[in-house]
Amino acid sequence: MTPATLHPLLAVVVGGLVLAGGAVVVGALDAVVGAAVAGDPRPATAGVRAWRRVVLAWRRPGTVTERPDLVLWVVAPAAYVGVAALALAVLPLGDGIAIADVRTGIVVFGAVEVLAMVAVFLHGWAANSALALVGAYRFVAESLSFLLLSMFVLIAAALPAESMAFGEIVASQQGLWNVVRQPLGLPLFTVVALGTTFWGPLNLPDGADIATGTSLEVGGPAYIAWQVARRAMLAVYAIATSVVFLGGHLGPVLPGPVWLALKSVVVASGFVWLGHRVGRVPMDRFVRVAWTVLLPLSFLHLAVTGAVVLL
Amino acid sequence: MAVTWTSAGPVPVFVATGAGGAAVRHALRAADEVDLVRSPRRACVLLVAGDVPTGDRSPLLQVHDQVPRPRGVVAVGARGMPAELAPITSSLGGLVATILEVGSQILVGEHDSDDVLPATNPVEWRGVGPNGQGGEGMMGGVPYGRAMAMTAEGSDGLTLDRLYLTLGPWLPGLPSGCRLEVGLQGDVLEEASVAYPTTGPTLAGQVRVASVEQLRARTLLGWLADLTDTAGLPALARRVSRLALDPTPEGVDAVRRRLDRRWGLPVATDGVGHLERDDVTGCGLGWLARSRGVDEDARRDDRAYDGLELAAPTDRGGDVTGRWRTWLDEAAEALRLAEAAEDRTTDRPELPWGSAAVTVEDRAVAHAALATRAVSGAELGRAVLTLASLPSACDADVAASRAEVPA
Repeated sequence: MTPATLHPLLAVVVGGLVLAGGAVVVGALDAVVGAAVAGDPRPATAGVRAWRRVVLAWRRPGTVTERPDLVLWVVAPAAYVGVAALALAVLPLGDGIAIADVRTGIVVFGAVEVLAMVAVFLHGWAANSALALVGAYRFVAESLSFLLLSMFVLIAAALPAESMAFGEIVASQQGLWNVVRQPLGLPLFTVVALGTTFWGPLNLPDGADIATGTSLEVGGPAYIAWQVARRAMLAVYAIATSVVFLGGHLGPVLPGPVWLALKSVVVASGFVWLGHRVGRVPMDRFVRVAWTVLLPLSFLHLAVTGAVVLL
Repeated sequence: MAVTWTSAGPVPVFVATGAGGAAVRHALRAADEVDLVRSPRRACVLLVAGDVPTGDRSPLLQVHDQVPRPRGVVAVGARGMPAELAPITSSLGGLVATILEVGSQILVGEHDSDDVLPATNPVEWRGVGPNGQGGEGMMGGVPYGRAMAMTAEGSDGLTLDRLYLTLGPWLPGLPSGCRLEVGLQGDVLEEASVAYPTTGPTLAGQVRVASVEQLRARTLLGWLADLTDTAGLPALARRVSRLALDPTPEGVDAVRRRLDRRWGLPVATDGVGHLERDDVTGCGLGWLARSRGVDEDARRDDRAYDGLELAAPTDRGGDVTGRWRTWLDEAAEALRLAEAAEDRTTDRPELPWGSAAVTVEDRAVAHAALATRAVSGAELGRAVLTLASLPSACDADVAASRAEVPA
C-alpha cells in the first residue's frame, strides 16, 4: 500500500474536526462515566452540566501571577494540542485516508511524546509558582519513564507489518488484530496513553495532591484551552490504540472511518473509566515500576514478537 | 439567554473549611449545581465554612484575593471571619440556592468583592535578568517575602536546590487548619514540620450513645471522602460524601466494594505514610491506635456500651490504606451500635477522633509530632496523602451533631 495523504487544506479541516470532535466526545464520556461512578441521581444530565461548566469557565477572567513567562504560558496549551495534531496526522483514518501516513509514522509518534513533555513542562514552569513547577518536573520524570515503553510497543507492532507506517500496521492486522497477536502491547500502550495525557492514575503533573500542579494558577479561557488540549490528546491516543491494536478502520459492512470511530470511542471509554476507578499512583512508585517492571516487560514483548515473526 | 442557561450552575466554588465545616464541603461535593475547585484561580465564589482561627485569617485574605474578580464570598457557620470580608451568610439548607444566586449575579456583573490586600507585592521584585530572574539577594530562604531556592546537601548526598514553603492552612487536601512547613529538594521533603490547630470541638455533658456513634460514622466517612478526592478519584469521592451525609450499613458496604479493590484506592495509598505501633500508641487518637491493633478505646470501660459487643481492633498495617480501612470498619460498627444503643447515654464518650479525656492541646501536639515523623523524607504527594489520612477533630461535623445531643 502506498502512503496516503490528503490535500493540505482538506487535511487542516479533517484534522481540526477530528481533534475538536474527539475532545467533545472525551469530555462527554468523562462527564457521563464520572456521574455513573459517583452514583449521581441524574447521570444523564452530566453532559449538559459539563457544557455549562465550559461556558461558565470561558466567561471568567484569566489570571496572572507575579513575573510569569507569559509567552510560554500562552504557548503551552497550543503546543500540546499542536503535537496532538502531529500525532493524528500520521494515523490512517480510513482505507487510503490519512493526513500524512508517512513511512516513518512510529518515529513521528515517538517525537510527539517527547514534544508533549516539553509543552507540559512549560505549562508548569511559566506560571512562576512552586507547586506548578513541582508538577512540571513530575511530568518530566514520568515521561522519561514511559517513553521507551512506547517505542518498544510500536516497534513490536511494526515488525509483522514490516513497515513503520501506521497504514501498513493496520493492513498487517487483516487476519488477526494485534491485541490478540501481541497481548502485552495494549496494556503497555495504555500506560503510555494515560501518561502522555496525564490522565487518571497517571495524572501526576496536575494531581489533586498538589492542588492541580501545572494548572494551579490557571483560570478562565486558558484553563479551558488546557483541558480541551488534554482531551484532544486522549482522543488521538484512543485512535492510535485502535489503529495499532484493534485493526483501525478494518471491519465489515460499515465504512472504515465509522469502524475506527466506534473502536476509538470504546477505547476512550476504557481510558476514562480507568481514570475514575484507579487511584493516582505515587510518583516514586510509578518511576520504579516503569523502569524495573514495565520496561523489561516491553523489551520481552518486543523480543517475543520478533522471534514469532522470524519463525 | 446564556445567562439563564448557565445560571443553573455548576458554580465553581473554592471552599475554605474551618473547624466544624466539613459537612458543608460534603454537601457541596454531592450537589450537581456546584463544582468544588482545588484552586481559587478557577473559583467564582469563595465559601468559608466553619470557624476561622485567628492565625488563619491573613492567609484567608490572600486566598480571597486570588479568586478572580468579579467574585463573591459566602459564609456558613463561620465564626472569626476577617473584618475585611463582607460575606453573604447562609444556612446549610439554603446554601446551594445562595451560591446559585450569587453566581448568577456575578455573571451579569451585579456582585463583586473588592480586593482587600495591595494589588502588587509591597516589596519590589529585585530580579535583573530578562525574565526577572537573578539579582543580588534573590536566592535562598524567603528573601523579600518570596520563596527562593538555594543549594543544600540532601539526604541522598546530592547538593540540589532547596525551597522553603508553607503549605496550608487553606490548601485543599490538608486537614482543616493544618500547616505543613517544608524544605523541598525536588519533590522530597528534606525538612518538614506539621502543625495542627490547638483549638477544636468537644462534646460535654450527657450525650446519647446513638448520636455519638452516628457522628462517628459521618466523621469517618467524611474523612474517607476527602482522602479519596485527594487520591485522584473525585467521582468516587462524591459518592462517599453523599454517604457521609446520610450513612447506612448498605452504603458502607457498597463504598467498600468500589474502593477496596486491587486497582482502586489502594493504588494510591498502599505503603504510603507508614506509622509504627509505638508511634500511634498513647497519642489520644483512639481510632489511629486501633488501626494498628492497639485496643485504646474508652468505650471498653463505659457502662453505656455494656452488652453491645464492641469488635476487637484489627492491625491494618500502618499505612494510609490501613487507616481508611479502619475508617470503614469503624463506620460500619458505629452504625450497628447506633441502632442497638436505643436511648442509652454516656458522659465520657470515645469520640470519633479520640478520647474525650485528652485535652485538645495535648492531642494537637501528639498529632503534629507523629505526622511530622510520617512525612519527613517523603515525596510531596505521599506527604499530602499521609496528612489527609491524619485528620483532626476540626474535620468533623460537630456543629451539626450538637443538634442531636439532648441537653
